Amino acid sequence: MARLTPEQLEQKIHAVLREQPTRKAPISLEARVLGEIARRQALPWWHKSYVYWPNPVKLLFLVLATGVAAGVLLYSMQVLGLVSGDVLKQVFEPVMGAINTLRVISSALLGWVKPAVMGVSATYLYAALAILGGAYAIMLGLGATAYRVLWQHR
Amino acid sequence: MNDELPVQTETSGNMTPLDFTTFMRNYQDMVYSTAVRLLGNDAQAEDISQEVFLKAYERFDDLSTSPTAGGWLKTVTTNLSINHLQRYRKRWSFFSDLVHRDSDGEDGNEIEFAAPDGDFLSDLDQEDRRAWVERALEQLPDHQRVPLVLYHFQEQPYDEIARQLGISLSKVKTDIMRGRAALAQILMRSGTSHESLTAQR
Repeated sequence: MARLTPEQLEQKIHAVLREQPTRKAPISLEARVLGEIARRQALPWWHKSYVYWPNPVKLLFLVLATGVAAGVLLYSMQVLGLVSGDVLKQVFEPVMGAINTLRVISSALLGWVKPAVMGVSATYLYAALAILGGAYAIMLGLGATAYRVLWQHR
Repeated sequence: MNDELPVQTETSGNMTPLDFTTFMRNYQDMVYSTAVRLLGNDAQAEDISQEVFLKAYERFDDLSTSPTAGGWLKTVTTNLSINHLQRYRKRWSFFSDLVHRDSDGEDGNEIEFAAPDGDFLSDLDQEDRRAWVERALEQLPDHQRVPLVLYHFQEQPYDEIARQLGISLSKVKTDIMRGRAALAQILMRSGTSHESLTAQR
């Protein structure tokens, strides 16, 4: 036995590791990859990312998305008083109708939820928060235990 | 390593399963070796290799004629393997390993080590040596194995490894040094046990 300096140890380990031959890939790898490619190719376009959508659908999506974005922008401008409501009504009569409907529904929902929340005592809210925090801590603890028992030494 | 192999494909840009199958056969051992050494786990290495080739398939038009396809595959394999370790193992070991890793750190540069005068495992045949070294690498903790593999197998400099792993330069050096010492100890134990690993497997 000899005492090795860090440099000598580096050289020995380097020699051992560099002489390792390339590992053979499992035979199943090729079949897995080709199978996954075939599965993805068989998926309908609406299950794939935007890049794989047909060109007409991409175009339609772009037009719709632009329309929605423009509508949201104009509505925001109207709320801020930058654009007259009359102008918008003339241009986007049907859209404004839908937006008004949404506004009525959201106001009704808010009117129903707000008194219910305000009526709950602060003690109950703190208790609920504590229970949520405790449950989260238990979940993390169980996860860490499961990792150490089931996974770490696999 | 077969990462510099030319790819036997047509240059028409038309992708056929045969082209891609040939491409995959040329590189799959290199990709799998890179992944399994970084991850220390056969099943996960196969998953990562699959992911790498699915990414390669998406840009096969470029890769099929590229002389740097091997380098691209190795880089993607390395990145995916490191991402996998960081995303899953660190999350799961939040209460355990992470604490030890933080305290692992910045201390001592001097590790003295007693080792046989000759090479490690020199009395074993090549297949047994290969198997022992693989098993020894698998036994190292991730934070030692990954920088060790990047340094010795992929010949990355310390600062690049530190940047890639998002840790300090001194921690990289310490982890690699400790990894070498731990690996040497495992290999010494293995070499003196006079057991045939291939018989155990």
